[in-house]
Amino acid sequence: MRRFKGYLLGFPLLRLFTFAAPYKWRMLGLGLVTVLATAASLAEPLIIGRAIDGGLVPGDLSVVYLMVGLYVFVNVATWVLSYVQTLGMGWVGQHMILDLRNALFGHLQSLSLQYYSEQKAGWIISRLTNDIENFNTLLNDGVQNLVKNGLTLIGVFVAIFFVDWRLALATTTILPVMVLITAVFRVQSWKAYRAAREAVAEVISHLQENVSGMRVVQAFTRERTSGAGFDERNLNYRRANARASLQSALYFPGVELLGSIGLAVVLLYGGYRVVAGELTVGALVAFIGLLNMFFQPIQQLSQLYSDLQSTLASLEKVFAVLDTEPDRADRPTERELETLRGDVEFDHVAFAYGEDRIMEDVSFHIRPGETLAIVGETGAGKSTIVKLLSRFYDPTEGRILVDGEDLSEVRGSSLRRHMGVVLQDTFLFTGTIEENIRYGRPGATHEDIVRAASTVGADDFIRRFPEGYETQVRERGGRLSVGERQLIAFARALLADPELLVLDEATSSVDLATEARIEKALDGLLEGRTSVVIAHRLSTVRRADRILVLGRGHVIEEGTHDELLARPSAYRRLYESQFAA
Amino acid sequence: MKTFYRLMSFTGGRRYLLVLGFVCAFGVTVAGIAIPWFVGDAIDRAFPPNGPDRPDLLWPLALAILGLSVLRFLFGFGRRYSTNYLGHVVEYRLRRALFEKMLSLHHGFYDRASTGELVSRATNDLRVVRFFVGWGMFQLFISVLTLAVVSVALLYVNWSLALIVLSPMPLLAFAAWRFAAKVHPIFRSVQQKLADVTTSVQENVSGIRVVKSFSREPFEKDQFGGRAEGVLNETMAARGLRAFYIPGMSFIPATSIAILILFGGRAVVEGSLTIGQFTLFQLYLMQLVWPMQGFGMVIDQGQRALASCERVFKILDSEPDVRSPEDPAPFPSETPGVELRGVTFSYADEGDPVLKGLDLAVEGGEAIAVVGATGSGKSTLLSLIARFYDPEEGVVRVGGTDARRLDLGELRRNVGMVPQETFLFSESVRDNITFGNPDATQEEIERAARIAGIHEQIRAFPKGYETMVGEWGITLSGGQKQRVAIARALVKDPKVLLLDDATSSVDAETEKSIQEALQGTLEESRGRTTFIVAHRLSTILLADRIAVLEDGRIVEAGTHEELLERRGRYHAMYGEEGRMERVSA
Repeated sequence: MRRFKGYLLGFPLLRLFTFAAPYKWRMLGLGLVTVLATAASLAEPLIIGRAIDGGLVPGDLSVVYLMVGLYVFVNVATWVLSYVQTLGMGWVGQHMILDLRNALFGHLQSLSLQYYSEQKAGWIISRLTNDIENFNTLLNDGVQNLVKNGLTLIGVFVAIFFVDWRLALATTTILPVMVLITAVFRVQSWKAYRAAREAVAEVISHLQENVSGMRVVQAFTRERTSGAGFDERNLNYRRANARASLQSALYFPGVELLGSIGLAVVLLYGGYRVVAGELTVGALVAFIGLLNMFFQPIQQLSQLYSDLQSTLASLEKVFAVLDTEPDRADRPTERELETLRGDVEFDHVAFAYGEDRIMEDVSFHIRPGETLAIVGETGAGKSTIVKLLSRFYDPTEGRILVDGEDLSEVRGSSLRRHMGVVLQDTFLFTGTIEENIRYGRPGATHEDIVRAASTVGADDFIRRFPEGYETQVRERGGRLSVGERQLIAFARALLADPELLVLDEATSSVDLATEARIEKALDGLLEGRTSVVIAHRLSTVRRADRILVLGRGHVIEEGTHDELLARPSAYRRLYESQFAA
Repeated sequence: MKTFYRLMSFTGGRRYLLVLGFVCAFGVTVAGIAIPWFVGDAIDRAFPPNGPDRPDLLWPLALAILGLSVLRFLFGFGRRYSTNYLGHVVEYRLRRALFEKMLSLHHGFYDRASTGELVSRATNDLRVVRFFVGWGMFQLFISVLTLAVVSVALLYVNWSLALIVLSPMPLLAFAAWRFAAKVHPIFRSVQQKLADVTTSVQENVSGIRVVKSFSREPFEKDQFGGRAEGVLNETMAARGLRAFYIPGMSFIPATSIAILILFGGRAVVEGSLTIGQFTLFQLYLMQLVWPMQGFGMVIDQGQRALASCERVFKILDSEPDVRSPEDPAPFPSETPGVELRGVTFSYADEGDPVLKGLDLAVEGGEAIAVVGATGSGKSTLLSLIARFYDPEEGVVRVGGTDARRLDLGELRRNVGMVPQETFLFSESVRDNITFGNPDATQEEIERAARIAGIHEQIRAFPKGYETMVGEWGITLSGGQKQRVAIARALVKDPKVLLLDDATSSVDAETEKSIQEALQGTLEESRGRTTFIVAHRLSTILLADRIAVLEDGRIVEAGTHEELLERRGRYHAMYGEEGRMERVSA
């Protein structure tokens, strides 16, 4: 049973129903409203017919007045019912979209950093924007029309057999052709829409990357190449769409044509049956009227079908993201880390990224309250240690122990709640400076924020802005220099007051005087706090309790500043090269 | 209306599609109205009320219907294909124009704009515009045409009854106008809320590591949820209007039918109207219901499209502050000196100027280090040389010529910049290095990479220079990225080199080798004018001269020894480290 359910969920449309489930009672109610509305609209010709037969022909005006009243009443009812229906379907549809968006966003957050490193940002963004919007277009009118036209179709189908089953059978001879072209159209347009989805994701990726890197594009006068690259993708998208357009332009008028052929068949066959006395003229007229009502919904349904195809292509992509396994480290089954003393041990850790072996057999131990500095060449694997320690990745070999617990069994997010990490690439969010610092501890007061900013020496420059802490931080910094943004990131991490502090080149773009001030402040802060400091400037490294020198993914040496300087070590070479230019 | 005309200008060169679309829409509508007429005619003639049945007449009429149907098929195909195609063409062209504009906009624009917002305009907004051009516009035409043809037919049959029956129609125009006016501002805000959602997504994707590091997933989820709910609320507001007006618009033809039953019915009873005429009136009025509903939907969609168009045109109308002159002065062939005279600059709406009457002259081939506290304006100074911004007061001269008089492309081709924050594209390492000089030979690439001290490491990657740089550069460390950026600037062989704290993420040993290599190329080639922004003394010492930036001015300039002797700002900053250097040397 479960397997069957799983099989069904493989179809995007059926899976969509799981998102409709919370609204099933409302939808049922709306279904009833739709039935009423459809019934009301089907009642209109009956009322007019009654007005003719009962009023006009015998010349009875009282029936005419009654029918006018009834007609107006039915139409007002249709208006009211349509209002309820449109608003209600909109409500359900928009809530489904909201749920889908939230589910997708939440799921994206649970995915591993590896996923983010392998997918282009634009591709991910496209899922949450374009694909969902596509769904919105369908929901806007689609579902409502689906129900209405579906009901009309069924009603008319029953009615034509009721009027004359032979004519009805003659009409249905065109159905196999209809089924055939629909099947062909279905397969072809599915391919075309899927290609269009792929193409638009390419457009967004290019756009996203080039807009983010516009400064570089302009600095290297690559506007023309970048423009040409965009043009190519833009054109591909247009072409993919043109194919879909061609198909639908053939299909819909084709359905209409089939309908007209059906009409001609009915007219001829029906006409001869009238001559043979097997059918009345009135019945033939009624039949033709019904046939018109039969093909109009088919046309609208095929239009819907086209929207549906496009939406399904989108949903398929959305569900593919939802089906991506969440980061193993954040599974709810992983153990929560309630407290952290700060005892960290790397036990013969090795790490490979794909085929790239980045780290081999690294072992070290940091006792609670200790500061460990890591130095080494660019690409020696220093930042990898930070990623492993944050459990963004798991080691390929060996173990990492935190407070004696194997890190690969601890939930990543619970670990990171106790950690403060300041990275070399500063990322700030759109918002005020204050909001950005508060990111570290949501409940912090203004005073806490000012204190954190003062500690890292950011208070001075923040106050110099006309709007102070309320100054807006913009995506690319604007007035904020890289160094200033690093200081804000620093304040953000300090405010979090973490048990384990990791500084990954946190002050590389800060001037020496500020750095010296931060170091002084750090003395107090690092006291009793386990910390890992990665730095190129060895002045920062000197005050660490222990120094680890990495080279090409291996630990080369370990010791205090004085120990390492006392012997002909790699550290001494680094130290000398920096201070003896 | 102005927005609409402007939108139509993007059909240029493909106007025939527009004409074809309208012609075919006309054909479809007329054929659609004619077919029922023929059917009625067929029945009347084949089975006249008085006289013998003439079933043989059914054949030519059935054939005529078939012929009309084939025509309608062809028109229908032509209508759909041409208008859809036109929609895609307009979308494509608008998007191209938008991106070209983005390429030309200056840094000041990007200081204020967010990537998510710009991406949203080039996708979400354009998609709405495409639907309107590809469908809505023609549907509007069909609705109006149907109304006109039906009105004419009714007036032809019985003009006095037609006038009474059609009297509610002006209400339609009024309702349409009210609806459009009310829904337009809501749609503008829907599109804005959508852009907020895109921005939220974009930031969370780019900053995922920060989000995770601070375990702030729940907060971000709430914020995103709030924004998504903003879209919901605005959409529902529009939906409420739509729910009222669209069925309301099909209520109007229904009112006409009610009037018909009342007045027409009386006329039939009085004998001034035949039942056949009454039926024709009723059939044609019924035919109006769907086009009128379509009319409402088109207004709904059209308003959304116009709101989107406005947002797109707003970007197209942004003028770049920094533009190439019409008649540029020739770029100096010698290694140019760079001179800043009385330069004052502040970022737009950001209060105090960053540079206040700054003076600095650097000779051709000279290497100058710019030092100063965090936020003192060092990066700004370099941005002005590459002319990413223009000074408010004063002048930047390159090779003695005002930078504003030089061709912008030529200036930037001759200026190599290594920005403080490295941005690499998700292409191969090779493509990233040759970014500024796509014609560079393998030899040139390797030489630049060697100088930047990255060649050996690139070679060690399994795919060497063809290694793909992940967008987040997870496979490349910060220092490696920075060095690829240095190689990227060097491969251009620029006459002016701007190094903005370019070795901040590089270890001391590598830094030293870069410095040596740089100095080597400096000496060996005919020379470059080099600006080095740095904090580390070892880097600063590479320069011929040092300028100290404070409070938006150069407060001291000279060699390391001169400045130390002056015991001024420089001494305060580097005195201690300077001493340390002497101790360990």
